[in-house]
Amino acid sequence: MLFRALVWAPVRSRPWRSLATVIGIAAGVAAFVATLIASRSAVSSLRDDTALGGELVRIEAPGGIDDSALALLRPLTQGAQLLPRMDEWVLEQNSRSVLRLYGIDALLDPRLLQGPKDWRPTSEQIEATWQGRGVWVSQELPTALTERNELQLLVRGIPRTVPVIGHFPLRSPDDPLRSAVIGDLALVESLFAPGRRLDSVDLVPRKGWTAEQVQESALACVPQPLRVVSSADLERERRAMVRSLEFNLLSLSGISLLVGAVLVATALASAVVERRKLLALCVSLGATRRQLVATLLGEALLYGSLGGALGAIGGALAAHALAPTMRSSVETVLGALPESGVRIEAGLVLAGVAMGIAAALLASILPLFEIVRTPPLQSLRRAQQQPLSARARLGSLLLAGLLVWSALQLMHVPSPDGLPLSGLGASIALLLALVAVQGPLIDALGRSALRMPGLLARMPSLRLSASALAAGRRRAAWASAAVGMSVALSISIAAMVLSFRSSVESWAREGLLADLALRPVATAGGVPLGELDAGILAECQSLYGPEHVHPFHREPARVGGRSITLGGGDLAVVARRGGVAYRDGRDSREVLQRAHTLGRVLINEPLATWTGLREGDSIRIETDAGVLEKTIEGVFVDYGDSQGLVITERAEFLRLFPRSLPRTIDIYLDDPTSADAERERVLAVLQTRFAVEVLTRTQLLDRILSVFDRTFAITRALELVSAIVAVIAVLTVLYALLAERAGDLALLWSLGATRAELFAQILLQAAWIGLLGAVLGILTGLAIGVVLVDVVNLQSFGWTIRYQQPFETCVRMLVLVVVFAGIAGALPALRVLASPAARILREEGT
Amino acid sequence: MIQAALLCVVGGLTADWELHQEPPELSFPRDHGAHREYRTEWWYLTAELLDDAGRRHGVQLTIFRQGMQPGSAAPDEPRWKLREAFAGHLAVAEVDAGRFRHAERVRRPQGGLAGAAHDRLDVWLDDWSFTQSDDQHLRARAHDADSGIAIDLCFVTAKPLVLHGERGLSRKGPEAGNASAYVSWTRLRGEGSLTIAGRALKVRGEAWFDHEWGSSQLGEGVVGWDWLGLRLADQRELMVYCLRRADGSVIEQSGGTLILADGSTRALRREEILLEARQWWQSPRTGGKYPCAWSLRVPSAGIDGRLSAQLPDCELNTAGSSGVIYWEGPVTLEGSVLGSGYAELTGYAGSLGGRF
Repeated sequence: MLFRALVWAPVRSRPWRSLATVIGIAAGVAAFVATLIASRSAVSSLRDDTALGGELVRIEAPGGIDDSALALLRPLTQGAQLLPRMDEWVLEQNSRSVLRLYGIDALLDPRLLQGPKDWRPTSEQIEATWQGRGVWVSQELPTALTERNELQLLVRGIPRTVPVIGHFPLRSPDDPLRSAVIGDLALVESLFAPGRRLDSVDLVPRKGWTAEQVQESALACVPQPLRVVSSADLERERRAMVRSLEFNLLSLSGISLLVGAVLVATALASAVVERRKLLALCVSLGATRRQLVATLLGEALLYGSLGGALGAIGGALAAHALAPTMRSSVETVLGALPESGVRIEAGLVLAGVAMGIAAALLASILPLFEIVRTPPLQSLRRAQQQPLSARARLGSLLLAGLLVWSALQLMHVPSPDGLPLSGLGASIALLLALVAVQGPLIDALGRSALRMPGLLARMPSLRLSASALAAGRRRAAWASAAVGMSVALSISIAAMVLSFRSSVESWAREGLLADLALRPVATAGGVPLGELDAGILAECQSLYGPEHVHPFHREPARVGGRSITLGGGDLAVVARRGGVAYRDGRDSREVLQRAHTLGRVLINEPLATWTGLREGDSIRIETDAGVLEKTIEGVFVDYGDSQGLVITERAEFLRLFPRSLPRTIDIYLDDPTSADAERERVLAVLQTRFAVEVLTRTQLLDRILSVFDRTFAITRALELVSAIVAVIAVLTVLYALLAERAGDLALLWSLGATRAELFAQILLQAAWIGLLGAVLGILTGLAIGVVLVDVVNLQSFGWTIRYQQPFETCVRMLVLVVVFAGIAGALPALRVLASPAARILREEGT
Repeated sequence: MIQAALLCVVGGLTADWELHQEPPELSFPRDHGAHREYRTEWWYLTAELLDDAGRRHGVQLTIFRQGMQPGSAAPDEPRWKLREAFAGHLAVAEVDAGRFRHAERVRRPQGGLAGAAHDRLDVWLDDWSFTQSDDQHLRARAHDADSGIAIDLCFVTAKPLVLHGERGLSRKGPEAGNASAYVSWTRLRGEGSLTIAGRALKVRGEAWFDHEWGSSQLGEGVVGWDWLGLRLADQRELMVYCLRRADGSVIEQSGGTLILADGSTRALRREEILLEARQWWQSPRTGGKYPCAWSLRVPSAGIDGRLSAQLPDCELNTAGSSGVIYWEGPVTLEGSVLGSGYAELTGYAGSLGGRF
């Protein structure tokens, strides 16, 4: 009964406000669910062992496994099935999509090409597979890629046409085999080069054997330099690669949910205010506080359930749209990734609903105080809006100060295990400080309205709107806080992106000095993929001489147990012109020349950050082909790698990895002004046999920045989200504020104020909310931007970035939010002014 | 599932492989090894064993080599190109318990996980193997955790090596080249361990070992064969093979070998052997209908008796390796002479025509 009167009836009578509230929480939940699903989807494309089903133990070596090692593994066949494998990422030539090419022993490896019971390849397909006459692709691979039953692949810069034998079914929507191309080992070997080594041998435990037992047996008989890892180890390594990234993405979406929760708090507080008389009547008639609290919680539950469900569904749908952007972001950090399906997990959707409910219930705590304080009807008329006491003002300001101080302290706390927890804590503290100062600020606005000087004093709408806002301080504070948090989120990310972009731009401009850059053809996301055939290097060296050509190799290695990349380059070639900047400010030519002469190595800044290594220190680099003990000559600034990179002389590198092929080839011309003509010349020589990208320095810089901009295009969407949040917040609050102050408005109306003046006053009231939220949001956002750039970024990726303030975005956000808020005020204004003043006054009893 | 079914795919044109036209010039131990110029080759052990508790067990271990590409590899050919593959079948018949278990393996020889020496008996496929330490000793080892069976058996030859047919040339069809080289140790005695469901048993008994290789063994119209390898109580052994057409008739080139107690042999013509199915067993899994009791008469050898399967369900479905469904199990001969051994019945659940 009480619920029907206090909740259901108002909800029905205010459908738009209720809808706005539900949308508010739905937006937060949707952002959380969509980000989580899309990031999981992007990261899932790194999986491969799970695709093979069940627990396994893998034997691998970065330089590959020589066939002769297989015979040594024969004792292991008792407890496990031994399945040799080759594994490469290749590019589909036309779409430039990344495909994962698996070479399996099709004779005995049943894992990849398993389908439903009624799915069975024909004997012709089986024979063709065994004979290495073609490949299998998933049924979900776009048919355009396999027109005429052929795949056009780019393998190490060489175009190859591969017949498609058949299409295998996928086992789940996010099956990592979606982008897989599967063929016999012989075919994969022939696509690369005869003699290509195996990448791994999988040991699938036989019945009665556990993965641990198999691993133990393997460790006993596997010779150096082979490495034995379990699926659990592989999963741990994969998770370690993406942990920081996932954490940041989740934090971002968590803040979205926080904004949603603030919106619900605003809506519930407004709902309480709107029904104040009704609540007071209920109290007079004997309703207990507990009953009233229960009704409010019921309403919160209703909003939370609806918003959560709507958000979870919306998030699941939006994940499909978000997935490509997310993949692009992950690619920037981890390198090219194949396209992965989006898997909607029921558990995640339910968690989204639960989050919506939890956020709504949490958000109802403050409105509960409002409801508990509602006096009986007979006292209501005596209830006055009280200005904030000096003590309360001081308390709020002290709290805000304490929060800012905490944020400053947290910025200096080291990150546990590479996760930027302290950075996140500092950001949240700043957001809470923003909430804490809202009350005193609106109160101060109301007070200052009475003392407005000069011209402002002659604008009654301005003064009245500020006073009206102050009168509904608590509600207005919530709305302004919601707007502020959303704006802060946008501004902080804009600050981070701008700072990052400007650092990357100057790093690339000052450091990438080669006149021509040869790269494998880039993926659709702009990330170069794979190695370059040895023939390409030979052609370049024959054109320009080895002293002008700089091939660069990369292979995995470890430093102090941490997975890093070991790079090999001709340091003397680069030293002639120089390269990227060094942390100690020395001329890069000097550093490179010294490293070349003294046989030293160079390390990148993230590695120096993670390990504390400095110039002159000794570094021990472990590879599966041997150990390098070297002295560090310099620490270079690097935005291309976040895991750690050590660069050594190419000759030394090739002693460890004799089969390694270059990932990039840079050419230094005698006459840099001839770069365009020389580019054409190189292309003309290479294009008969190879497909590679040859970029001039300008083109390379443009490419780097365009990839960057595409990766962070999502920040534009965040600006729009902030504006929408402002509209929702203003709408929900203004309805309540106007309901509360309807009597005052009607009185003004009766005293001769025109409709236009009243209309302007209400619009200004809305604009005030927007303005306060935007200004505080911008200030907080700039502060959080510092945290993101100097703390979170450093803790997550180890990059030093110069902080840049996003002035343009700040101005745009300020205008956008204030205008949107003002426009949003029109709707409730029209509604209030639609009723005759006399009726309002009669209803109010004024 | 795309794995194996090795014999479903015929490796190259028959004409590209060596064919047995004339009796081979055999030399041992060299010819116990692999003959890569021929398309198909197998090493085959069947044994009847008794454990300490007196329970009877039948064991079969076969390792096949199937050539897929004749000739030698081109210099730039991928080394993983499927030029040949090895398949293996391991089966244990628990006669008294009435249970039959079998396992299979397949692998290409690249990397050395499967292979065969070319100059001696040394054949392996994962941890399954046949090895010969000297002229008289043969060891068979195989372990399969998935089916829970394992063998490690050592045998001593009780009789000299038998060259079947015409000095080892066993004709299997009317065309020149429809033949295989076929040699056997027809009576081996030995002991070792047999593991069933994780329980190791000490066993001892007698075995028969075959080695056969060729490129075009079955003639036109042949759908399968019935093969018998029997050790008779009078210390003779009898090998019989009947190559059947689809209508059940037996082709002219069928025959056998009678090994006398002193190890001397006599080739048996088709007309000398009367093998007639008397009873049938149908597989509930594949629908294949196999004879499980016969009347066997070889009047010229004084053999007249009833042959019966010790365990009716000894069907092997080797879809994961050679792709053949066949029956292989221990049999007992009763009548004018007692004996026992193994029978192999193919072509009752799908034709083998064109595969061998």
